[in-house]
Amino acid sequence: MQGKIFVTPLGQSKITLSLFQDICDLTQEKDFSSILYIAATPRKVKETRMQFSQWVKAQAFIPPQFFTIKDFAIQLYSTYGDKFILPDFLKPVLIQTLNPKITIGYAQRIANFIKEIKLYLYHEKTESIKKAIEDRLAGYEPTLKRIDEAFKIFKDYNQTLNKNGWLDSEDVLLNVPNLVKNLNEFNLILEGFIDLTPVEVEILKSLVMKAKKTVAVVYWWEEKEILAEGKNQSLLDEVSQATPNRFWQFFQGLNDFTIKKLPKEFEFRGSVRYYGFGSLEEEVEGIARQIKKRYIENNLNLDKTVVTFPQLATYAPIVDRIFPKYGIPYTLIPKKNLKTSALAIAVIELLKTIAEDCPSLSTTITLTNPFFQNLSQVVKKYTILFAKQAKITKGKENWFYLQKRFETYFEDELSANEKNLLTATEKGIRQFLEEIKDFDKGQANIVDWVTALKDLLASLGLSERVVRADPTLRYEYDLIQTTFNQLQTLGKTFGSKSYTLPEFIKLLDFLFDRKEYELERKEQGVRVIDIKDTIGLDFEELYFGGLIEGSFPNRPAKDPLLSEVVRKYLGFPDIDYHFRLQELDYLRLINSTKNEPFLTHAQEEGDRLLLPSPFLEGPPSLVEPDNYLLSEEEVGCFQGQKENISFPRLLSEVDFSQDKLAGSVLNQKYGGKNYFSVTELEKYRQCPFIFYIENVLELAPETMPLYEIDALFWGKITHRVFELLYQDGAVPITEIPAKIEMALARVLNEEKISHFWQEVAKKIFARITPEFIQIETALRNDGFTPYQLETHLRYEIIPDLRIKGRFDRIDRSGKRLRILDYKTGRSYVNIKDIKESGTHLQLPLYAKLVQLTKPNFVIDDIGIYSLRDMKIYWLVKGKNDLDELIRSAVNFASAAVKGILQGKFSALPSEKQDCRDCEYNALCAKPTNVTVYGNNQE
Amino acid sequence: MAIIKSKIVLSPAGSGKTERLARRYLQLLAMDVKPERILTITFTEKAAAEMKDRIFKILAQENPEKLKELKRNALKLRISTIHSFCLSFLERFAPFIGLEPEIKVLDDPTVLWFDVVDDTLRTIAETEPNSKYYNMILELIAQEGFRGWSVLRRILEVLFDRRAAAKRAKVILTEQKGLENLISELYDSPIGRGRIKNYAELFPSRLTITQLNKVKEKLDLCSSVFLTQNNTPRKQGFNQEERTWAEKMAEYRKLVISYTSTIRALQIFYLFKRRFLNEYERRERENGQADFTDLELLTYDLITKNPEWSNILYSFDEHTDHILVDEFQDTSFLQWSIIDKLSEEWRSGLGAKRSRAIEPSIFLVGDDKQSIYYFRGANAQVFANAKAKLTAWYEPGKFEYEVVDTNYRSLQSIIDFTNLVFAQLMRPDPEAPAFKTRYAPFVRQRKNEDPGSVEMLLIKMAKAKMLERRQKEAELIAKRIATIVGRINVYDDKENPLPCRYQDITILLRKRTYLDVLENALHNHNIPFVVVKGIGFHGTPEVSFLRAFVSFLADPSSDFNLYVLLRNPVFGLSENEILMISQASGLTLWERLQNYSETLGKRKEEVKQLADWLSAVNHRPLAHIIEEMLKIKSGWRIFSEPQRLANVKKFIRLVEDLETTGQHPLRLKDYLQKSIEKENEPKANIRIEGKDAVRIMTIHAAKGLQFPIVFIPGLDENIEIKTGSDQSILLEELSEDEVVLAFQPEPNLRKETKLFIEREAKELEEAKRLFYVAVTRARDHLFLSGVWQDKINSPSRLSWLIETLGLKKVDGKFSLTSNCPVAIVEEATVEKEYEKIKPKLVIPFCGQLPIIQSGPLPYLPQFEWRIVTRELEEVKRKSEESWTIFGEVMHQLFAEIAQGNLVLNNELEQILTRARHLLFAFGLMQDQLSIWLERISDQFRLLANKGLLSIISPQPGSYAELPFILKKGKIIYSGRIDRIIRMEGEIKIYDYKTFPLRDEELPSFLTEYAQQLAIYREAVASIFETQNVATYLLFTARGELIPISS
Repeated sequence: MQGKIFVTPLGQSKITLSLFQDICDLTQEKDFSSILYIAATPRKVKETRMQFSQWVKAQAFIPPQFFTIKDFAIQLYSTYGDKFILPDFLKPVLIQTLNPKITIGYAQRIANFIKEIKLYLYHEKTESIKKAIEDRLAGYEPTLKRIDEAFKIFKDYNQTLNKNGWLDSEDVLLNVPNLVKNLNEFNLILEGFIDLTPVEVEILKSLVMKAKKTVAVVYWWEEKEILAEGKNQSLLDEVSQATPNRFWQFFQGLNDFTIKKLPKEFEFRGSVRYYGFGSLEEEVEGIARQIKKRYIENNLNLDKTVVTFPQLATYAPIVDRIFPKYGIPYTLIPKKNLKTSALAIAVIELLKTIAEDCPSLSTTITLTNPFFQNLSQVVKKYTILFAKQAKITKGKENWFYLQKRFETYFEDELSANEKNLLTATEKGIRQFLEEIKDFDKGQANIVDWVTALKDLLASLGLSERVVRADPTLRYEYDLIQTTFNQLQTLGKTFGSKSYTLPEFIKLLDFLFDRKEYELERKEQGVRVIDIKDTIGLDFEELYFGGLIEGSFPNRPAKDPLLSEVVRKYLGFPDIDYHFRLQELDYLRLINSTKNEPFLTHAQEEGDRLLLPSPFLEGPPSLVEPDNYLLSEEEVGCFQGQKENISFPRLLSEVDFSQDKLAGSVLNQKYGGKNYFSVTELEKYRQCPFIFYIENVLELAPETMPLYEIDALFWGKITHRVFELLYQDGAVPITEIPAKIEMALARVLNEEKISHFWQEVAKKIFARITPEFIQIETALRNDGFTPYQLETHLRYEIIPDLRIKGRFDRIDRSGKRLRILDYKTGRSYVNIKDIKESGTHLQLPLYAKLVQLTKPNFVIDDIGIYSLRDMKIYWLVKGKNDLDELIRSAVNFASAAVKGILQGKFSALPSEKQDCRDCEYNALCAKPTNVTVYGNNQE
Repeated sequence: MAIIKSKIVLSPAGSGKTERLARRYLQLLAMDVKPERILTITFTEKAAAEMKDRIFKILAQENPEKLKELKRNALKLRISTIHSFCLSFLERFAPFIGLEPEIKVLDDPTVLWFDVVDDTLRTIAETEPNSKYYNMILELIAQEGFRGWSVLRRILEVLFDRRAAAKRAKVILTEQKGLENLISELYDSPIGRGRIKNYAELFPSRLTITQLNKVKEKLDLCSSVFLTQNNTPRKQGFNQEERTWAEKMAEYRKLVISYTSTIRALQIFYLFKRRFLNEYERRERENGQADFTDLELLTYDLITKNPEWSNILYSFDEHTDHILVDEFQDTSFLQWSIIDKLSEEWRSGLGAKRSRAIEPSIFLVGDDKQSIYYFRGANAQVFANAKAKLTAWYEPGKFEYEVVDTNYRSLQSIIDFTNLVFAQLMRPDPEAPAFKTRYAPFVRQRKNEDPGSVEMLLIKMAKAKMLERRQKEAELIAKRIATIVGRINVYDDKENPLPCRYQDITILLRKRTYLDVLENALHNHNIPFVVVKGIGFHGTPEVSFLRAFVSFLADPSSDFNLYVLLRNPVFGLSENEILMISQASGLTLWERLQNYSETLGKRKEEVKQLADWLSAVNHRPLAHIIEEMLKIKSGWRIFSEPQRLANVKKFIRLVEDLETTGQHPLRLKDYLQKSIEKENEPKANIRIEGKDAVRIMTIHAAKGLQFPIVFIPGLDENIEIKTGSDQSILLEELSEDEVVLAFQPEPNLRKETKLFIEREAKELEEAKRLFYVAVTRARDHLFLSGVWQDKINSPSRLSWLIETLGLKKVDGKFSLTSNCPVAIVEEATVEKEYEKIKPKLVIPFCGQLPIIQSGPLPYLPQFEWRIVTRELEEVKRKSEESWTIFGEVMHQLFAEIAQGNLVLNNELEQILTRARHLLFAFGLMQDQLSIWLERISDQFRLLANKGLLSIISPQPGSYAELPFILKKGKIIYSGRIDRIIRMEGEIKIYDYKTFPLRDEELPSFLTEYAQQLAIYREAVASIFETQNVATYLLFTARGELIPISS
């Protein structure tokens, strides 16, 4: 046992090459297999392995063994150990098995508790740890109860593992010092260790003792130069003390070790400038611009450039979006969690479909899922369309009878092809329903759920073959399968609590969420990495973003078991330790490059005001504008601004008056002997543009299907009921209640609406019937009785103005007529609107139709029969202005027809006020909303 | 023992409220109180950040050492909103209430609530036909007719918004007692019996909804006996006794109406709590979520109802010595209850503090006149309650109530105007109900003798509609702005006069109804402006377009969304063409577009692009696809206006955030669709610093801010009391633990219901406070504008000014009370000034396009790293998953045998034991083990029979699983060789293939592996410095060794 310690300035630690040179001859040797290199992070291991290949002169060679402590331990244990290793992410599942009452999240916290005890207090007896904790928590009964429970779980957990020949990853680490003796002779290199647990210290010690020669790096720090006056303790010491890290002391006690203190490359910095940006996105853009600028102006070495963020996960998607826009080659290997993979989503949505009685969203996601290959293409292509039109919100039954439901809600005639597609879709859906029929068995253990799920996925066609072409999907598929297998193994080995399907879904969701992995990406250019991964790396330029208060330093998750005081007492990492470690990261990084690193901070995100990290000092600096370093996006924006583009002005009015082709389409639809319905003309009057979208193109914004009867359907029901009521003429008033009841029963039966809504309808009709009778009585007292109901009339009321309408009701008294229109919604109409704005043309146009088709009659009154307010709003009653009203209406109608046929569909609403809430505002060339800064001139 | 008094500070606008709080905090630090022991509650996250910033800035100037120390304790600072505090508190105690320790905060509960309402109705309707809920909901819907469910849904939404009170507090039936008394008083009245037929039937034996409805009907029928046409008690023709009877009958009728409202509300309330809210909370818990209200409710429950509440409080007590609360006037009863409960033990003199000789303190600062969040549950009454409570609790000398009367913000005219108007509007009347605001005048502190100005812009317009009025007013404002910019002075922080710029002017709106009118007017008069914190994000054309794009990609059958795309200038299809496309064949517009393209050969590029993006949805982030589309289709150019561009970016971030949480595109579509309903979603922030433009914002958004010049338009707008269905339900907090309820769908009856009348009065009071907040934002000049109304029927700010300033119009001229610090300016005067100075056009961008470098950086990697075996992954993959595990196990077994760690004998005993372990450890199921062990055994036997076992047996000069590196040009290969055997003069390389292979598959395999083995060969030749290297593939399942030559 002999060795050398390089005491290196923290941050300035690019001495990996020297470490190897001290132990081997890179120019001569070809077999380095006796070198065991252990570093703190996988990133450092990976980069050293790559660098090493470049340093070695030989064209081919046998490389050293490169490991992190954890990987080394697992490798060693897999070779010499005899127990099975419990995957970390399954610990909470086992803990829940041991105590089914606790939630899965809390089980995770207990797993952390167990882990910390094993890593930090491995040498203590459990009972004495427990007693020490209890002593400190005396008086806090509820917490003591939880501590007691946690220790009981701890005990059961260890016993269960032992009994079945298993162990966890902490046990693996604990076993390493004993297994090291099996290793053949080796030379050891240790690099990058700042934050070690006591168990890791023991592992490294055992390796040093076994190694023929050891070369290691220990960091030093001249805190006096930068830390506040009056601070006695070095930051490194603080960290060391908090982690009972006796590693350094251990080396100092070894006689055969030489110590080499390396000088500083440059003076330590206590703080550096930082730059403020408007938002996270602007911050990333700022970094990208700066890299690009330095590359162009100073020939920046991209391979020696690192970008780091304390919260890489938050910034990763932004970097992935922004850097390519600036043409920056980069490597970002984000941690993904399985929950976000398309396959895991498919699995969870499938289970939700089953558990929640086929809600439309989960079901459509499942039925259209490309991974379920056994579902037919027709189902995948048309399910969403038909389900929307059938207004399915939920319910197996509704899916099973898709066609029937479709017919209830979709009134247009389907072509033969469409019918076939609908039938095929329904058939495919039924097959799917058959597949999932027996899946939910209420309660089952984890093995049964997983087995059933695997079978179901296989029967739906999800197999490795489906994902083979895409390496990411393939990897994720493997992860899911492994998770399933491990769950089955766990259940079979240790038993399992009983889960309901929703509980099982929650469990899977939890496990997928915790299953993190990194996808392979080609390493090139700028490295975008997590702060921890920068330890020991070789780089010359640093961009250090995300320096936001609350994020850096960030607060550790709350420990529901141990208070900060107890954690500190036990030597577990506490809040102070957490802070110091991050402060050390900060100081390490700002001293890691000779050139001053580029530090950034976002000042806002959405409505949140973000303060700079407390590590930063003073106000932010401003970046000089670099207008020439634009992304393609900005080039576009500049062009737009130069052209003074104002979006609303780019939208065109719809006017086909000069377009023959469009004219022929319109002529086909509305020309010749076409009769316009009054509703169509009213819509055109309301706004020609809306008419164009809804009537000419037959489009409308999608609405969410809801479990309710919409206004249109209520209208349909009421019209039909009152039609049936008087179909045989004016029934005696006394018979009205019974007749309404009968009519309603028939309509409800025809419309096939659910029992609940039938009941609602019955109640409403029962409630309005007495008032209806009052109105009817009053009408009869005036001498009027129902004469014609739901009658269709059509007539060319003036040359080229052909109108059709379906009259709700015409009452008659001798030669006098009353025209009534039922309304279930808002009913108020005034004459002024008709005369001046041309809205509500219906009743006067109907009056005109009646005048022309029934010349022997006289129209006395016209009115709206409001079923909401249960009263009649007379538009004309006994007054003589009907003709004038009709004249106005006919003029407006005539103009409308002309406009339609000419293809004039500009947005010209009859009531400007309506534009405010118009759902077509975004499409309209005359929107009301012009909120844009700048560009204010025409 | 350091002592600091507990205090409530009533600190009016401009009196330095935040500074006071910061100073209090610093005072505590100076007393060596540790920052982790001071809990500071602010109203918003932004305010918390600003408070920290303020503290840091003061320390940076006054005590840099303390600042360093404070920063080193950054993680221990407890300056946050009440929600953040509750979250942290709950995470600590989560297991007590069965919560997951990691609580996901649900920022926007509306989408979940939307689903819950629909699903709960369905569940009750479809699965519980015999339950009481079924009948209840059936009745409630039917009562409201054909729109019954919409009405009920809206009411449930109102209750949901008020669930902080609904969930916790007890419903008080305020009218019950009075009603019962009146029944017993009136029942035997001979006057009543003599004048009304079946008089006794007017008084029910039980106060049920059915009985009360009948009573109400009967009372209406006979009301003319005791009521006048105006619904006042009848007096005419009545003697005193009869008058008293009539008064009581009138009161009785009112109480019946009110009480019926309450009973009806109780039904809805019951249904809401038991079913809808329950289900909402269940789903939240299931997802590990809690919304902001839940955070408060759960915290409240934890410290009041949980069996361990006293221990929890003790724990809090032990860690906290001082509580500071900012903007206390905006605190709700629930929030106050939490603060109150947390500090209860301090005041009682018990708890952990006494034993440690610590004197805890509470510091509440706010201004009840600025309480403008009544609609969101804030209650100005909390201020008075807290004062009463703390006064009662504390010994004299330990608590202080301070009313500040200084104003550091405004010039004299504005201060005079504010004092004059609000001293009358908020008259401090001790007899007035508690909800009334009481004004206390303030005194100018600014060292500037310029009085500033208050100007009222009044327009004369006879009988104009509201829209016309607002258009006229907006014109006037635009012109007035044009005439003051550069012509009047404002002052900087050091009171230096500066000519007014656009950016010094802020227009404060009470609501946004006529925002567009104002924007149009400013636009037309070339006044640069910016809407700060504008809302309606989801309704903007750019967001509608992007939403349509995402929705179409998620669901290509959504015709309307495709139409939105095609019509938008980004895709820019003409309507003529869209019309033609709509005529093509196909079930959906997308199919029609494809058929149109195919048939006519047009729009091929667009169809291809859309098809490509559709197929990319499952493997590329949507945010990337959106940006690509904007790039390809010149979208950035089209949406280049700053607000639109910011909205586009906000939308992309929104999608990105949703995607990173693992949302299927259809869920994303659903979410975005539901978001349309969120009319209040703010537009993206745009950077306005340094932009010379008028700011427009709502008064609510302006709270806490100040501006040199403030315009307050719309004086004549009515302080309207809303009439929608959501107004039919009422839930008011009486105190920390009591609420009253009422439901009255009839607006006319609401006018007769006490609780609704009181709510109206509270809303009116809030409107006054809102006016106060608006006025007090002005530093130097205040402009108020409106259209003069000769006749005013309902309250408006104009009516208040008429009342308080003696504003009159006599003979067409306006006049004011003497000494009023207001100048009235009429339209004509502004017009005249405007004509003189008509402003020039503002050109926002007139520079040249810069020289652009937008392409990728030229870059060549130094080397490329390749892992040899991974290149052949594809081959390996052709086998089943279990064969892969099998392969890994076999390789491990072979390696261990070669290294001498496993002994090879005829029984294979040791090998199979090890194999069993490895198969299981590598993930094979227990029940599958035997079949795979048998295969292992078979392969070993086969190798033995074929004489191939020697390859894997330990041999000198051999290697197993040997790693190597080979450098070839810029490529570095890394690999691991299964077996190397060095013999005299020759090296043999073996690569194991353990999966079964048919004869016909063999040739292609050999070809594919040749490349891998060539690399092995080259590496070995170089390492061992010999050219005599042979390579073999050992097919263990076939028992065949095949040499592979170069």
